[in-house]
Amino acid sequence: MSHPLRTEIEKLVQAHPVYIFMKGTPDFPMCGFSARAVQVLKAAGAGKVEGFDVLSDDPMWDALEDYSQWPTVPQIFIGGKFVGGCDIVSEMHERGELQPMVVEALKK
Amino acid sequence: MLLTADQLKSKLETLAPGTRAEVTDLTGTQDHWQATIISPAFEGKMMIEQHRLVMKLMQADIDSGVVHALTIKTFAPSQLKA
Repeated sequence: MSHPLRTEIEKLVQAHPVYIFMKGTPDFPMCGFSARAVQVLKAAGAGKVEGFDVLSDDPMWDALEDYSQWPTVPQIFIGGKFVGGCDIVSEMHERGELQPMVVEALKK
Repeated sequence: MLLTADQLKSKLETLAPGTRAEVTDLTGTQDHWQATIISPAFEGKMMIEQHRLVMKLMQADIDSGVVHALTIKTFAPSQLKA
């Protein structure tokens, strides 16, 4: 059975080319990994990053883990697709793979 | 029982035929590891899927606490031929 808040997650990630579920907000991150992920997204050209603070909403946090089947936060979605957490987006950025993905998502 | 570097390396290399792994003990305590893994199983997959494959292989050891932390870098063989 799918999580009742699954459609809420889907709406958020479909509505934004680049979206991050994180601890705190993009302007006021409450965790080093979340802060670094936002920085990396900005460096990859994402502009103003929109996000959701899981610390403010436990049911949504549960729904997110169910949706992505990934155990940690932050979680980054690009073009509606789950891309990874802080380590993965950082590594993708280092390899030059993140920026093209962000650019492609922003076109749509 | 904690894993030795050789045991962890061998385990990671069971991922698929032709997989090569290098492991580093980050803390000297045999429970915080960094691993670089090159595997044909990663070919054509997004990095998140590559990581999922490794984490699935290691899940039991992570759940039991044998491995407390595992940071990985994954490469498909074709990514190294640039």
